[in-house]
Amino acid sequence: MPTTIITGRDVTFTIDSDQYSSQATSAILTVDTTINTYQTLAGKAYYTTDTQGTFAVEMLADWGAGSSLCEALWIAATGSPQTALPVSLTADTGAVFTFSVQPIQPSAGGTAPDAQTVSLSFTCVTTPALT
Amino acid sequence: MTTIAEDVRQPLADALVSVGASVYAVAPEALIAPACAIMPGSPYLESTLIGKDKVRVKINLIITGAVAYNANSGALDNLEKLMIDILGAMPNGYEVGDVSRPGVTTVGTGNFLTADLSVATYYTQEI
Repeated sequence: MPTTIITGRDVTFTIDSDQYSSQATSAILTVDTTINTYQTLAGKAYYTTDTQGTFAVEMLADWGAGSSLCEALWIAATGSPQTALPVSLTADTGAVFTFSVQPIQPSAGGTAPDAQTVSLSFTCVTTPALT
Repeated sequence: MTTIAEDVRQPLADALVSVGASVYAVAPEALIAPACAIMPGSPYLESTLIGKDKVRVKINLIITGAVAYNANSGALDNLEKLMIDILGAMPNGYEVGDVSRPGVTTVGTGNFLTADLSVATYYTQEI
């Protein structure tokens, strides 16, 4: 089987139908699994009780720009904080993860002289599905 | 189709005209001091954004300020003024880095005191 390499350039994603490729430098979906371990007479037994997804995004800030993604996130988080946002994350062609995240407010500001960046860690409110 | 020359280097050169020096959007074959020239940095083009539907790169540039090198004190004073003016004229959308230690550069038959300012911006190739 030949070696397959996919890179961050293969990644694209949308949040609430907004495309982030023009601003995002990193997008990582992580699902943590809670596994209970039971010591039985026959040895250890394992039982998965819960999973929790986290969607981490690093992006260049675009406050003030037309159709600003930072402002869209801010408005969503302050205007409808209980309304989950749909996310579609493509790791590579044919590997699309869909889930919803709770809206959060992006950070603002930065350090001179670097470009302002935003780090976001979204909590997934639905279990990511691979389609 | 957009190009780095037309959409990045030339607009930057236009913004630097206000410093009152000769401005070159590329490395010049001959230099009229005082001058500032926009040169490629290293690495020159970096792929830092996700996605490949369009080519998006971070462009690292060097703005070289040059003044006539006749007397040490006068040349350094002129170079300091030029580099401060360049810093003040930098347009929005640029990361502005450090100014390097001045050095003497020979271009053609002339000697110039020069210093480099590191700057960076982002560019998206539009079809």
